Amino acid sequence: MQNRTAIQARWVVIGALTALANAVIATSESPAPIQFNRDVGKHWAFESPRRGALPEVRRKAWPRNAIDYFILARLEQEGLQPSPETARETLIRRIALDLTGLAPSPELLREFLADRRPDAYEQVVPELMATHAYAERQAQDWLDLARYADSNGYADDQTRDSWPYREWVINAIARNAPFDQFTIEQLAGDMLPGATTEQRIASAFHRNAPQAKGNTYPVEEYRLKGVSDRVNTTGTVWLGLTMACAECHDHKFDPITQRDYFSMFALFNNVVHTGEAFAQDGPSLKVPSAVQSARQLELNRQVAAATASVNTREAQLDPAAARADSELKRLKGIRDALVKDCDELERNIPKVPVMEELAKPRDTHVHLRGSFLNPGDKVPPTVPAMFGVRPEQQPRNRLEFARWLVDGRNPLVARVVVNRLWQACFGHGLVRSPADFGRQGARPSHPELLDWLACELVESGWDLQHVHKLLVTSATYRQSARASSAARRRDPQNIWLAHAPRTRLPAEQIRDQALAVAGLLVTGTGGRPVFPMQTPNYWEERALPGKWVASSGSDRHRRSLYTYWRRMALHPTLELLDAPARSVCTARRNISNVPTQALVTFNDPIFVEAAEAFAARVLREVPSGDSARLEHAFRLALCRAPARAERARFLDFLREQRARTHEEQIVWTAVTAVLLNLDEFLCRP
Amino acid sequence: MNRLPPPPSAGVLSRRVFLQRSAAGLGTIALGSLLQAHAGQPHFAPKAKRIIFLFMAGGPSHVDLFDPKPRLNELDGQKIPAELLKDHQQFALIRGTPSLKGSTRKFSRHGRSGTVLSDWLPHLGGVADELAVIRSMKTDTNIHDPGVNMMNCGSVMFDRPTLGAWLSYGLGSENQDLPAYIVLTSGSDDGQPLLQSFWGNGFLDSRHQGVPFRNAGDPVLSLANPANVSSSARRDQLDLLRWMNHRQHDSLGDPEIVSRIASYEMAFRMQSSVPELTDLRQEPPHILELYGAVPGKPSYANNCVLARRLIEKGVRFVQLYDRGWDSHTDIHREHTRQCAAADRPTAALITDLKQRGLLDDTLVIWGGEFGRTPVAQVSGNTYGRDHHPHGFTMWMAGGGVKPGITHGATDEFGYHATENPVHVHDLHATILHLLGLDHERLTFRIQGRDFRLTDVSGEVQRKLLA
Repeated sequence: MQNRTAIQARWVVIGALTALANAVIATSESPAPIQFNRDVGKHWAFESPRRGALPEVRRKAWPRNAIDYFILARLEQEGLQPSPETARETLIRRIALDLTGLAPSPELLREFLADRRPDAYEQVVPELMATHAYAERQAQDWLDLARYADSNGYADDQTRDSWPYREWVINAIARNAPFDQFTIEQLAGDMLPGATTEQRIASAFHRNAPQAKGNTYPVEEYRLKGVSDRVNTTGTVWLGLTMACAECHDHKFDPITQRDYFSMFALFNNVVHTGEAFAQDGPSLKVPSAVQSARQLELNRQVAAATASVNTREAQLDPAAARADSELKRLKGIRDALVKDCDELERNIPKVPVMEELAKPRDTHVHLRGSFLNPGDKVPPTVPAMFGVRPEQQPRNRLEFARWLVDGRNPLVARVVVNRLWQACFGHGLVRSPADFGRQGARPSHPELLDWLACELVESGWDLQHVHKLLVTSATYRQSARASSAARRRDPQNIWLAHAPRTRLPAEQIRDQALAVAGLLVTGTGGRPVFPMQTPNYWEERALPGKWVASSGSDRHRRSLYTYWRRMALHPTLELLDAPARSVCTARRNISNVPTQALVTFNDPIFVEAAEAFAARVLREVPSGDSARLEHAFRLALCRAPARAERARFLDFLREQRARTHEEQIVWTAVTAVLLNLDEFLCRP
Repeated sequence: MNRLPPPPSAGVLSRRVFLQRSAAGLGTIALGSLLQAHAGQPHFAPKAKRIIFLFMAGGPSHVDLFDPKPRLNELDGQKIPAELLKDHQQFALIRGTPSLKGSTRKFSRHGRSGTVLSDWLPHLGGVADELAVIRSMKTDTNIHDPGVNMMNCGSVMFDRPTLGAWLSYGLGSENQDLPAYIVLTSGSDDGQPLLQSFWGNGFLDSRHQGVPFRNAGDPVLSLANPANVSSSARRDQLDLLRWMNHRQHDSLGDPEIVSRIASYEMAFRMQSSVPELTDLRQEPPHILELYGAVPGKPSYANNCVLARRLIEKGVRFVQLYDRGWDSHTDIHREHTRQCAAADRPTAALITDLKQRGLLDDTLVIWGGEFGRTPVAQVSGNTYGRDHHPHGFTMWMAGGGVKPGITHGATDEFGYHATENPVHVHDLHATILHLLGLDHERLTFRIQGRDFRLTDVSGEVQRKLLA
């Protein structure tokens, strides 16, 4: 490893610079904030984004919007050509999958292909964005960041009622909540003046982390784990900074000192923590449904009435007679049954873990070498010094911090947010390390474009859908995924985007699409997590507490987003297709390509059922004719008709299978199972 | 390579890591590990090519199995000396000041090496000369799940790659029909839960995740075809699928498609190779007898036979979790049960590997997430022992380990590791060294930092090397 010395040398230099910067802090007479980026050399991400002019391009007819000028200019500089627009049936499948997580319905497909208006595509994008499915699909990525799950984590791994937060996220996206508001409510909804129930539910964002509980360590240590997670997650989600590096010592590469870390820690350190050992918990909010509230009101009324009846009767009798009185006994029976119903109802009301600020903030000390047993200096709540906030403007609490974060002046937030949106549309971000915009992160491939988009986001009033729409209506997005030999040779990683990227779909989209194609998907929204079929005894084999009882009826076929998300044993269908357990914030999923996935999509009961239902649907919807049925099956699964060679090959296959069995259902299930396993089906086209 | 200005860190990334972080690289690497025998390269010539890690989940009692303490026996019943309790956290479950508890077991020397073992491990005595017993292990926690994480990942956290994942990442797979990292489970139902993080890939690519084999139903989830799909019908389907995927590749040129074709073919091979491998009826009776294995009746013994069969097929890392060692209430009953089930098969595995010439390059590791306290946890008329991280025993055998030695020591109570202490990080450094990997060079860059199995410490224990 010849580079080893080089890196060590660099560490020494950076270490020395950091030490120098620290020395400046230590000796500086005025407490004025230190501009680290000046002390240790400028770093692009710590400078404010600037919206520059659109670059000059030679092929002036290609760009459809501003994005394309930046992309094309670079392609031309690299001597590459953009790819032609992809086929319309591919384009509609791509946009529907990206926006709604579902392939277009046969009706939408038909309408779109028939729509000859030049702006047919521009028309369909807002239509898709207006669907609830859009909010569900976009929420999925946010829930990865928010480390949302339905269990507490650790060996105990008990259920928690966090799902109203999941609902909040979906609803906020559905109403296109401006991202600044979306941020403030999640980081500090509980602290907003006159906080509504919804805003308090939003604050569950920072109660989503696994909750460590146990007999062994001091309660304080368990509590602090949660606070660190809040700092680190906030760093990843909004700042693209690897805050965790500064928990035990000053950050080696970025201008974040350990003191900065604990100053930010102080902002998140004031949440009520209750209980001991396994009963440790924090504040929660009862969120009864409308039905539950009404029922509770009614039950309370009935209990009052029943109690009154008991009292009246009792008053009429002397104690000896009361003991023998059958009417009194009957009345008490009624009252007790009602009280039991009340208790039962109360138990079923979701109690969402939310944030709640202590009246008097806790003192926060630097933890020397990261250990809370070694308290160092007491630190006030502040943002890292690198941001150069004057003392009188320092956020003093979580709410002020949230507002500061999205006041439009932070150099990182808007860039980090649009970068993730870019990643969702193009497979990778313009910065390929979405969680690290620091010196060790990747540099942006198109820095001016990133800045342009960041400015656009802020100036549009943090309108995420507006930016999302710009991305997906660009010519860049509409390109074919076919890589020319020149592009393959000169840009194998497709950094310059001479063609559309192909990515395997996330776990949820693979299952949901299979269910949709089979006609099984139930698009009902919201509510408690659901329990689709799972291999029997999956939890028991691992000695995990609890029992998976599969939902009955339509809840088996809800979108995967609603599946009970157990951190210590995620539903295997989702887990094997790379869905994260969400023990920590995930800014980008690992997408692997392994044999156990092939076994899932061929043999997992969920996919077997889907293939069978898909076959039955084809047989039902097209009364006869192999060719017509094939065409229907292809359209449902792939949004296109089979090519001539494909048709011939599939007809051969049908003949082979009929030699094996006379049951058409089995023959066609063999066909549909293949369609559900095609690379074309599993990937974003 | 592209002309994107490399990030300042690009120079430090190994080629492998760099490729992995790039879109095209992902496909290339995945294909590489699927199709090529030796995808990864060790840093230097390895002594061991593969590992069988016998994980005694719950924590076996070192003072009752490996580490006799006459002084502890002498002081049985007296309160634990206060100086032992300095500088560390309280016990996991014991409250108040407990009493010292000597061992009721008889210890004797075995083999030419004179390795000391208790009468709970009579069979292991027969292979004593192969063992390197480490009496001075130390770990960082006395709680089960963080403890298992520590032993697997060098961190108590739930989001880090396990040893098996690091090996798959560093060395790739040695076979084309099976995953590189397989997990087998056995033991008592009242043991601690097995969490998916125990074989997790952490921040490494998910193809490095361990594949748990199940004891009932399909050994691998969804391995069997649905009832009405024969193997030959599936072959027809795969032929059609491959034909379609090739067309897709011809049209789009995405190398990931080739990788997907390979995945499906390997899945198909697994459908025959895995049931064949897990079918212990193929073993001759004298071998089954040696282990005490009974085909069709899941047990630790069966898993030991299976582990041998797996490594014979080139599986890189097999981890056996034997649950039920967490003896809090009646150690006599619970450890008797565990040892009765585990002693003979463990010894048989060593014997069997040796007679097949496999022990030389197979590293066998035995141990739990921690040991058990030299003080009693009284429970009515019986007693057990609590979790103990400050000094406990593990052993290794084969794969370049010095045979027939006893390394390190605890104090006279079996409480603290005092002589040649071996922290989990040191153990990991040594294990990687035996596999030809420098633990400081096996890194993965994420969150702005190069992560290692050994975090920021770990020293190769030279005295353990042959």
